[in-house]
Amino acid sequence: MDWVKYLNMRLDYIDGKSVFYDEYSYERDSLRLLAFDERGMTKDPAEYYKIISLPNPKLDEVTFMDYNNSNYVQCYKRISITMRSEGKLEMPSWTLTDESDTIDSCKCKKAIADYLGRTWIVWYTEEIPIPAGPWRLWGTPGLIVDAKDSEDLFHFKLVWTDSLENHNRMDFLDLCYPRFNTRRNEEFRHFFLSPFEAERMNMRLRTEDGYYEDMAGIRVIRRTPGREKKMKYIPLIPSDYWKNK
Amino acid sequence: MKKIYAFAAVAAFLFAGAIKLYAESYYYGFLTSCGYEECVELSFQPSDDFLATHLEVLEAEHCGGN
Repeated sequence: MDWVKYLNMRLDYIDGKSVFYDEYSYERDSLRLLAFDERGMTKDPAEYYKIISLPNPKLDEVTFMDYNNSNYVQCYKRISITMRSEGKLEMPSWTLTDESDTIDSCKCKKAIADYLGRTWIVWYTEEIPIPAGPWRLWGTPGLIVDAKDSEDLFHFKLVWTDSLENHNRMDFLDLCYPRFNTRRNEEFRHFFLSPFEAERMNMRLRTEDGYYEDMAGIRVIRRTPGREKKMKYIPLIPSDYWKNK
Repeated sequence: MKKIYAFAAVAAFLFAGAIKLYAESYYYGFLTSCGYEECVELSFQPSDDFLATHLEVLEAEHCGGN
């Protein structure tokens, strides 16, 4: 594989709902409230220095799942632009196999499903009887502790579990992605779109030269020549999935 | 009639002055830790938050981030 990304993702589960997000993205957004005032100007330099000392978030996506009401919210962020979409949960047609293994002292079983354009191979544990998993993977008889796609492009692996100290991260993350189109101070723009439109805009912002600059009102005058972006963007849902939707 | 023409001339002058757009541009340069440099023109005056966010992404994309 040419491209490898190391993620620091977190899954919070509370009363039939979950949110999947990058830990460093959350910490950065939290520190921003302390570092900048309502106009975005620095009010506490010490808090700002904490931001730049954090590792960069690797995945600017946040996924909210409501298992009781079968809804999901998928959010993306690209620098100063956020996108939010909402939809009904699609239940993966898991094939539960007889294969079992012990992963990090948990007894696990294997399941396979074609879901959202990819074939996913997951290991779940009934010792944690919640139907949740990383990103939008869900619906197994227990928590998904390991998930990989058949092309080996993505691999989610549970590192540790713990009880939540506080429950307000879900509400805070929800506020970062408004349900209406807005523009704050001509800088940060928020879009509320259909699932397909949100995916397409996110893809264009990350792969199409000049598209982000056009959307954000930025004109690049000069840049260091020959310095291409190092990281190639591969979407979790492949573009082909949307052709018949 | 002369008064009407004078009034119309003054009105036209004021209207022409009103439609003259006063546009400002803001220029910023970003230099990452690995030496990537980018100069941009903005149609709005950016906040510190915006500039910091933009620099963070350039660091991640061109320097590999942390």
